[in-house]
Formats: sequence, structure tokens, C-alpha cells
Amino acid sequence: MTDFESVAATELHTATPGPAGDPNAPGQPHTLEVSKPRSASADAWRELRRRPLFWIALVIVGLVLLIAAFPSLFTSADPTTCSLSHRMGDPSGAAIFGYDVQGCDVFAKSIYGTKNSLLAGAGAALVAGILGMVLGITSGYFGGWWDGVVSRVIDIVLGLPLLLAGIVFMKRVTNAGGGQTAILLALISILGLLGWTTAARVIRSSVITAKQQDYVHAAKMLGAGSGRIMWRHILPNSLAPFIVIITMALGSFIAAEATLSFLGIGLRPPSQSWGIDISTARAYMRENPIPLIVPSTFLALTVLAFVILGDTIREAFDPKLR
Amino acid sequence: MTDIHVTSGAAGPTGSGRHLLEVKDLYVEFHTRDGVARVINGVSYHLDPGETLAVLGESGSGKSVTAQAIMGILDMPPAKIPSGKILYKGQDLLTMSEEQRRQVRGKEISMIFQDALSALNPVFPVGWQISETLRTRAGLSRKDALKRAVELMDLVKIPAAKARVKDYPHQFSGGMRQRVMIAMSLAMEPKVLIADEPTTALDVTVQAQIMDLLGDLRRDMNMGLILITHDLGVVADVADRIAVMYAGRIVEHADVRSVYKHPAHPYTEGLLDSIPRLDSKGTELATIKGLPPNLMRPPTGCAFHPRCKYAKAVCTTETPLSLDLGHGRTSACHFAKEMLDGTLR
Amino acid sequence: MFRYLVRRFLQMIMVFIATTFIVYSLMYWTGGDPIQALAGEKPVSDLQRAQLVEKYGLDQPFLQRYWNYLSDLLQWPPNFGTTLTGRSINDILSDAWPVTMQLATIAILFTIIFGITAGVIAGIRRGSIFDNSTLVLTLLVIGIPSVVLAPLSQYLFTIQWKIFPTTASGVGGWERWSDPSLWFELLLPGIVLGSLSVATAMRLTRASVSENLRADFVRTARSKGMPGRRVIGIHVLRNSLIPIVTFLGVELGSLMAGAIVTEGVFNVPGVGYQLNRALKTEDTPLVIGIVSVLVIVFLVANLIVDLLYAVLDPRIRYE
Repeated sequence: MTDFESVAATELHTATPGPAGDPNAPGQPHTLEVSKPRSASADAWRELRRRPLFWIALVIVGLVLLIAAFPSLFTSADPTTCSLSHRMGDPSGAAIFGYDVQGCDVFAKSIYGTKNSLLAGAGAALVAGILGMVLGITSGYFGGWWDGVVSRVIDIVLGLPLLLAGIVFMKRVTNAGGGQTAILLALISILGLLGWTTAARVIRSSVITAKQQDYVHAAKMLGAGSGRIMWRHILPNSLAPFIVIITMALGSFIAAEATLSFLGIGLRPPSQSWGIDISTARAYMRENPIPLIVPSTFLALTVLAFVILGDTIREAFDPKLR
Repeated sequence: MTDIHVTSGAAGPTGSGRHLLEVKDLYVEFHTRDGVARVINGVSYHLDPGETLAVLGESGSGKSVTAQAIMGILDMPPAKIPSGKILYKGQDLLTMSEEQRRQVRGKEISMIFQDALSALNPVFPVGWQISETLRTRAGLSRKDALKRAVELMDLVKIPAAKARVKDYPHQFSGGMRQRVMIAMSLAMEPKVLIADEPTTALDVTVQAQIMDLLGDLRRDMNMGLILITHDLGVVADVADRIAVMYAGRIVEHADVRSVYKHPAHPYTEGLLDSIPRLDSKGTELATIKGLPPNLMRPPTGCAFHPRCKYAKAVCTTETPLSLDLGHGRTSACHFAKEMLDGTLR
Repeated sequence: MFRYLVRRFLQMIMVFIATTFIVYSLMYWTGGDPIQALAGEKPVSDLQRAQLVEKYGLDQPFLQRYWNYLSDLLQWPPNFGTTLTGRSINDILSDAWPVTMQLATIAILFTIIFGITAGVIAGIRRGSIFDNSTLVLTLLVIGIPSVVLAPLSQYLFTIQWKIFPTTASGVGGWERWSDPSLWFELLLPGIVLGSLSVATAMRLTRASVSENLRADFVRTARSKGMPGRRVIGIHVLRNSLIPIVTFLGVELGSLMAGAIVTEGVFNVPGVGYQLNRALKTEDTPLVIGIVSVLVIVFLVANLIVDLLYAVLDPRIRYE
């Protein structure tokens, strides 16, 4: 899942203007510029509105949020009341995807698993976002020794493969015991602590670019303080790549939660998690593949929706990719 | 090459002589998301062996696009050539197959670009790049081609050519890089060399050296040279004739002396007035007011009228035709004759 | 060039010390009683306990133990210690590494053959049907986590359609490399492992090719009369290679780590599988050993990439 971030990162990096384009290059004569300038975000939104993939992803994200908030709207079954008499029961009106090896409602389990996945993903994205934003802006803006420290820390964190580090950290937490909430909080903070680097790098470089812009120099000369310059002038310009990174990271955090739970070092029963469901169902998939397929689909669609959302936004904000 | 009819001075767009290179009534459009921009609107010019034609204009005037159309390196789409002819030794390049055109490119007509750093491939040594055509098109062996590359580098006066032939573009200074570019374009001994703002990115002293070099090479190799520039000051010593372009048209075309003496178009006059002169020290430098037109929505009538200090009512409605002023001189101004008489106010 | 390499090397050493320290300190404080974990359910007598503490140096202060561990790692050949059950970790690794390398080789080959080819085609024909459909396809692959992809493909290709064996045999070591049937059994896990890299490689190649296609030097090559295939095959590709090779190098490192899930699902007896097992059996020394190795591989891969970068890009070579 570090790879999700690397996709976003590499593409954002290659997308930043490289060697200056030749002004006489065919296809872009100077006078072609439209006299009425449109703002970048309005342009991006116009572009975004036309993309069906964007709407599909948005609808899925909305639906997943709704499921997480009100699971009982989608199923009347209780995922924790299982009865072995239903073991591997076929799909029926009561349980549309049948029952798993312990006689639990497969569909209800996946529905109730949504909340934990989203909590872990969103929580980790929040932690990573705040860390990345604060460290990226301050290191880019102030530079000097602080920038050096932050850059070295980024090097170190990137030196730790996310999954490996997650395993080691989570091993520590699960060994220490602790309730389900404690594990969830640990998951959130660990994924967040390991996942902020890409956001910080992107923010840092866009702050460094923005810092050299004339309007920032002008604001400085007019006596605006550092805080105000960062908040009013630099932040808005770094926002688009930041949103993209965080949206995609959210998807990868959800995947990471599932992976850790799958490996047995994340959430544990009786918590509901797609990762646990996939792990249990795998052992019996010869007998009945449905308990494997249902949570897999939930997980894949959710992660996919966030990745597509981030990707379409990125494309819309990057005129070079149009 | 045997039957090239060398005319003295200029023979105007309607001249009957067979020229080395002749652009005839060329139109180029760019089709973009926001509409169609007509960037070249009926451009005609010609070139003979051993002479230098300077094509002058602001950025966006269409001077580079014309050159790229001659080279056949316009990206189509978005570019489109609805009509016109580009005759090389009497043959229309525009009706040739891509393969035939490729044969012309680099071998008959070659081109050098403004920013040599980005125009040279960063990952290959300069000798490799200079000799690439020799290896792939002239069939020279790797060793011979490299030897020839050193000779070419000597020819364009790169010091210690032999030692530097394996260096990479970023290891050269700006002027030396442009010399590499020139050496590369000369490898196949082309008959026509198009130099697109060859000195814009360089220091003033280096500019003069490169200009001199180009002038010498043109003479020694009897090439036709098209010099594209926005700087009238640069071309005075080198050019034989000048074609001034504005908004995709040639607004004035004449030999270099006449243009400097008596411009026949207000735009040319404006360009001349904006050259810094030693004798006008202390006075404010004149500039042409306003911006080049938006070619998506060009002004009615004469495209220059919004910026012209002489503009009259007729200029806003009627597009001026190219007026023949004799001696191969043309001007696309309603009041060209008055300008020459000095009676235009 | 020399300064660049020295700088990168110092950086690598710093990252190495920091990461091993983090890993070691975390495992040191894992809670639980390693001696009890070792003995399993049986009660441990005080005498036995004292012997084991002595044997594993559990009574030494933390920094001393970290130092011992680090100096064991830095000697040649490195000594990764013994597992809680007394097996040499070096032995386990020398059996498991060739397997993981084999798996990673399949994954990287798959990436090169499919990802880069598709990326070049898509980059040249931007906006075409091929471009758009492969882009959507890569999004799909990127969006599907390996905990979904591995079990589902295992179900489809080995149980439903029975094209590949469901799980790999337990053969380890370098002998594996000479047996075609052992390559075949790793084909599906290799493809699953490589699918993420394929998608990333394809997108990276596409972006790089289409960016270089617009570069000025392409226009120059065209105006020299170079045929289209030479312009793309030599001028564009040689420049696009720089980020692609960089990516592949880094990817090789992260593939080894990413193999945990894939190896677990397909029972491939590689490093990831051993790590899985070590986590389940609470074998702390084995976890630390494997994670250290993976971190070292990751760092070395990064260093090699830096070297390659300098070889491929003369602008860096002559800095």
C-alpha cells in the first residue's frame, strides 16, 4: 500500500512543471490564451463534473458513509447472533448472501464491518493529514535546520516499509492487551504516524514554490506575519494536491487496516472487520466462496472509490494531463 | 541545383523566377478546445541560395509557425494547413508523403532552435547527436561519423573539439551549446537553414558571435538562411531582405536598406523606433502600445489598427491588401505610399 | 557524482540505524514474557529461567542489547541470532530468500513486460481507446488491495478453474531456481504480487513518455529527419527510462515486504511466510531478524537505484 502513495506522489511530481516549455512550441502560441482568465478551481470543477467515473466514485463513497453511520438501515440481522445450525447456510430471504462457517449472516457482517474500516481509514487520514500539513508547511516555509530535521525524519519513516512497520507496531499493541477501542485507536495512530510523509513532501514542495511567487513577496512587504501568509496565501494553493494525496491515502489506510486484521494483528473478533472476515472465509473457500467474496467486494469497492476519487480530482486539477 | 534562377533583390510574392524555397499563400489554423485560431493568413515568401531572409515579428506573429510548417514538424492536430504551397526546388512539400518529407528534413532543409539546452537531448553526448544523421542517413561508420562530428565542431569554432566530443550538452556554455546545435544542423550540408531565434537566450556579446558565424557559414556553404527573430537590431548586418510579420500576415517585405531608411508600414516603423540607439541617449525609448491581437478573435479590418498611431476609419473596416511598391517591395498598409512620401500623419 | 554518492550513503546509514533502533526498541518492549512464550504451556522453573535469561542476554541493559544486535548485523556474514526455538535465523533466511527472490523476479518481469509496454503505447497514443481503457484498468488494480486480490485469484484460478496449483510446495533454497515446475507454481502468486507494480509502472511510463514526447529535443530529432520509430525508440525512451528504472529498483525492495500477504495466502515458503509464522508464534528474535533483513534490502535497493540514476542521467553524473 505504500504503492498507492507512490502513484500519487510520482504523478504529482512529474506533473509539476519541469523544464520550461518552449513558448514557440506548436499548439500553444501565445495569443491563444483566452482573454478572460478562469480560476483554476472553477476550471477543475467544470472538468470534474463531466467525468462519469468521478460521480460513480462519489456515489459509492456516499453510500459507504451511510452504511457506516446507519448499518441497521441496510440489514435487520445482527452480525453477532450466529447459530451453528445455519453453518454455511445458502442465501435466502433472511440472509441474502447466506451464512458463514460459524452461522453468522455474511451480509450483515460486512455491513457492520464498514464502520470500523471507515473509522480506521478516516482517523488515520486525519492524523496523517494534520501531521503532513503542519510539518510540510512549516518545513517548507521556515527552511533551515527545521527543514533539515523534518526531511531526515521523512527519510527514516520512508525507510520503513509501511506494512512492516505496521506489523511491528501493532504486534506491540496487541501483545499489550487492551480493548477493541484501544486497538482501533492504536491502528489509527500507527497508520497516521507512518502515512504522513507523502502529504508533507508534496505540501513542502508546493510551499517552496509558492513562497517564491510575487504575491507572497508582496504580502510580506506589506507586513503580513508568517502565520497569516501561510494561512491566507500559501495554504489555498497547496490544497489541491493535498486533497488528492489524503483521499488516496484514505483508501490505502482502509486497505492497511484490512491487511493487518487479515494477518491477525489488527482488529480481532468480536470486532467486525472485512479483513477478519476474509481471513476466516479463506480457509473454507472450497466449501463456500460467498463468505470470501462478499467482504472482498465491500473492501475492494470502498478502496477503489477513494482511489478513483483522488485520481479524478488530480487529473482535473492538472491541466497538463487533460 | 543546376537551374536555380538567382534574382537580385526580391521578386515579390508574385515573382515568376524559380526559387530555392518558396512559401505561397500559406494558411495555418490551430484547432483548440476554445475555438479555432488562424495563426497564418496567407503568408508568402521565398529564399535563394546564399541569401539571408530575416523574418521579423513579435511572439505569436506566426513567424515560428511558418518555419515549422516548412520543416513539417507542426503537430497536426491541433494544427491544420487548409491551403497554400511550400515549394522546395519547385516541388510542393505539402503534397509529399511523410517519408518523402522526412528525406527533405535535415538533409535539404534544417533548423536550429532558440533554447539549445532543451533542444539537445540531455542524455546523449554532443558528438553522438551531431553524428546521428551521418550514421543513420549517410551510412557512415560510427568512427567516421564521430570524426566528422569533430570537424563540424571545429567548423563552428568550438575550442578543443576533439576533447569535448564526448561531453554532454549541460557541460557546455549557452553560446557553445548553440554552436553544437548549428554543427548538428550542418551535418548533412543542407541547402536551407532556418534559425529560429538562435540568439535570444544568449548574452549580447555571444549573440554577435553566433550571428557572425551564421553569416559566414551561409556564405561559405552557399546556403539560404531564414533568420527568425523579434529583434531588428540583430539582423541589420546579416540579412539581405526582411519580411515583417504581424498577426499571421507579412505586413512589409523589402531589402534591408530600404526598411531601415523608410519603413513602409507603421508596425515596422514602431519596431525601428524601439531599437535603442547611441545617438538618442537620454530620451525615452519608444514602444508600440498595446498587445498583439487575440487570433481567436482578430480585430476587424487591419489587424494592427488598434495599436496604430495613424489609424483611420478605413483601417477598422477594410483589410489592407499587400501593395506592390516596386523593387520587390510590398506593404500591407492602406497608406503605404503616404508613409514613404512622409505625408502620413 | 562522488559527493552525491557519499551524501546518499551517509543518509542510508542514518536511516538504517534509526529504523533498526525503532524496530528493536518496539520489539524489546513487546510486553509478554519471551521465556514463557518459548516454553509454551509448560511451567518454567527458576533454574531454567535463569539459564535462558543468561543464554539470550535478557538481563543486560537495553542499549547494550541493541548494540549487540547491531554489531551482529554489521559483521560479515551478518549474524541474525537464533529463534526462540533455537534454530539459526541465518539458516531460515538462507532457505527463504531464494524463494522470495524467485517470486519477486516473476513479479518484476511481469511488471516490465506488461506495465512498461502498455505505458509506452498509452503514452504515445494519449486519449485513445487503448489509453483510456488501460488507465481505468490500472485504477482497478491499484484500488484492489492484495488481501482481496490474493485470495480471490487463488479461488478463481486454482479452485474454480484449476489452472495453477493452489499452494506452493515447501521446497526452499537456490535449488528451486533450476526446476521449471517450481517456477510454474510461483507464477500466479508472482503475478498477483506484481499486479500493483504493473499498474504503477504503466502510469509512470505513460506520464514519462508523454512528457518527453513534448520535449524540445523530440522536435529537434524530428527536424533532423529521424524516422518516428527512432525518435520514440531512442530519444524518448532513453529519457523515459530514468524514472522507470528508478521506480523498478525501489519497487523490488518494497515487493519483498509486500510479499507477506501473497506468500501467506499461497503458502510460498519465503521470507514473508516466515514473518507471518513468526508473528503467529510470537517469535520475537525471528521477527526482528526478518524485519532487519527486509529493511536492509529496502535500503540497499534504494542505494542501487541512486547509483543507476547517476549512470542513466549524465546531468547527475557530472554534478
